[in-house]
Amino acid sequence: MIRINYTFRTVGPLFTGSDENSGTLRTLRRQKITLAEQQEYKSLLSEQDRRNAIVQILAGVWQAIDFDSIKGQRLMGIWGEFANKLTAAARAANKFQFFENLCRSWGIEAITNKQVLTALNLLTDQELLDTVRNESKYLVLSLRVLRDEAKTKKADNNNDLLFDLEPVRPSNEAVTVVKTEDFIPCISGNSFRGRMRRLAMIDFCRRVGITKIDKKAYHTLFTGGFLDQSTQYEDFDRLEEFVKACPMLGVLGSAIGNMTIEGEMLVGWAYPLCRERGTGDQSFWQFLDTVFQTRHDSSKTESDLELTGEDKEGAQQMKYEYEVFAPGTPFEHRIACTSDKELIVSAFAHLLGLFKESPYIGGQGSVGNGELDLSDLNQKTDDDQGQVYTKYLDGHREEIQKFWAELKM
Amino acid sequence: MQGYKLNLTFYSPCVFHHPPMLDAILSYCLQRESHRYIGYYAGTWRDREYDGINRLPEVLEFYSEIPLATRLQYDADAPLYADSWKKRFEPKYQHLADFGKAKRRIDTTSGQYRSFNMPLPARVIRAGWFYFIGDGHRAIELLNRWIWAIGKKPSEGFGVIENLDLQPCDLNEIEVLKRRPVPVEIAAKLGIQGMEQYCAWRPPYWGRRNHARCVVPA
Repeated sequence: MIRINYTFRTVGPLFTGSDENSGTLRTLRRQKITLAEQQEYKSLLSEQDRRNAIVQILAGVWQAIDFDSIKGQRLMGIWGEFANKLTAAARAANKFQFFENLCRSWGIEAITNKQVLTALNLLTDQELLDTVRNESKYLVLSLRVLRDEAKTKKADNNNDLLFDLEPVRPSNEAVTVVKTEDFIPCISGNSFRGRMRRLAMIDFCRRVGITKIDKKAYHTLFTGGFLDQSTQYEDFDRLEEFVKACPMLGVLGSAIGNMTIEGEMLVGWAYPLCRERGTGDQSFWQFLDTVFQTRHDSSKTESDLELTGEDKEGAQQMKYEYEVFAPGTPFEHRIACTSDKELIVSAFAHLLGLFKESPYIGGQGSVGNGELDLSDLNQKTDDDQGQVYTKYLDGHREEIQKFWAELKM
Repeated sequence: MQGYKLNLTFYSPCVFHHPPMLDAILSYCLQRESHRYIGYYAGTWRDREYDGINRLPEVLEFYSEIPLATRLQYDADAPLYADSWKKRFEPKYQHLADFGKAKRRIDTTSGQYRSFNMPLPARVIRAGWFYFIGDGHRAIELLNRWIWAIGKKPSEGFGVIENLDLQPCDLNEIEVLKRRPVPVEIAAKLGIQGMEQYCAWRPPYWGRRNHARCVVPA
């Protein structure tokens, strides 16, 4: 078995989307882990007091926001924006950086509320950051309820009186808080496989000169196919023909009719080298960032083209945000090939060569995301090994073309 | 033959509905050897063609017809969470696809080209172990040659093994059998207790003829 364990770094921001959104923020895909070393810290606050202390910090920040400069649509979504900026600020290394990031994100110059400083001093780095990272929705909801209560009491608009909060007091005995699990952002093996499959198959079609192919066969090559027949017998010779007509099918696998070709290539998940997995000194939180993109409605500035339709006055512009791995994030990754057949091993090597030539992964590639520095993989693999595969395709071009042209699935 | 404890550390979470069985894994390795080392046949094996079980005595001791190897053991508090596996039709190079006289469109909600987002129960196991009685050196040789990951979806990176470590240990047959499914008649004879379940008790575990009412570890 060929096992390639290597590391890579992100060159630009890297985004691999999950099914989850946090408000308007699209988050990275995450996987549960048990921490390499359980995290313990002493706290002078009970669980509820810890949350109250953080809400006091947030209240201080909220009071200092210049709402006069926020208007219209933005004001309507102000709580969503607050939640996003809170989550983004929690990617800091300590509580002071968190506070700085949160204030900067709102353009706050100074905070006058002394309770903020008291609360900040009571909390340890870990308890503040953990609570914000894991309970941001609860914290924002608490803040919002307090804000609404203050409003219904018809509190004076004087900012210092907006929130009427009792200062949090520390308890006499410190409690030990233990953390054993977390959700780590990572890149799925399937992301790599999908990307590599498409690179390999379009390269195969171009090399062989395939310009048209049965729709089902296209799906078999580019997506992995499907099982749509149920018969008692399977034709091994037919299966062998498919692999001969496209050796990459032997590497990546596929489903054809009632047969499954098990791919010889195995692709692991890529994880950031971080303290939580015991593979680095920094927390993975320090590698995360939030990127925003905008879509401008150019119809508003169009002068040479007359616009028609009923909704021509409506604005079609947006700002969207997504969580990314910051440029320079180090990752560990694994790839293996179980075959020792020369052609399959060569096809595997060629596939890695294609990936090295086009080192991108994840989404939003069209706006500069997902480039990788694969220099470690480059050192650990030999591109010349791929020549057996390319020579095979050159030598069998006509038969392969004929096979795929005549194939009806 | 000697008793062994095989320790595994995992690189990534492991996906399974029933804990992986060491005898199943070893019989897969032997099957790969028997089939001219060609892996891409693996998905097409049928019960009657599966000769990995016939070669299993090369590696494992048997009690009656039951291989003396346990299922994967791990800490009971290993966290479980829902992961997923995704697949969708690739539109980027659709110009290559011949739709014949039909409209050039596909239905991604149902049918052959539907998109998948399949939930997978993933267990975060840092360290697991198997017990077995057999030829330890041959077992480790087979595992190192053929096994990169165990459980479901190994090619997508689930259940990847970081390290394997074999330790000889004193084991008797009962200690192994009580950690794996055993047909109820044999379990009653040996005084093995556990939960009753209709399941397979020897590889291939997907073969219908290998299913019976069994006692499995609770």
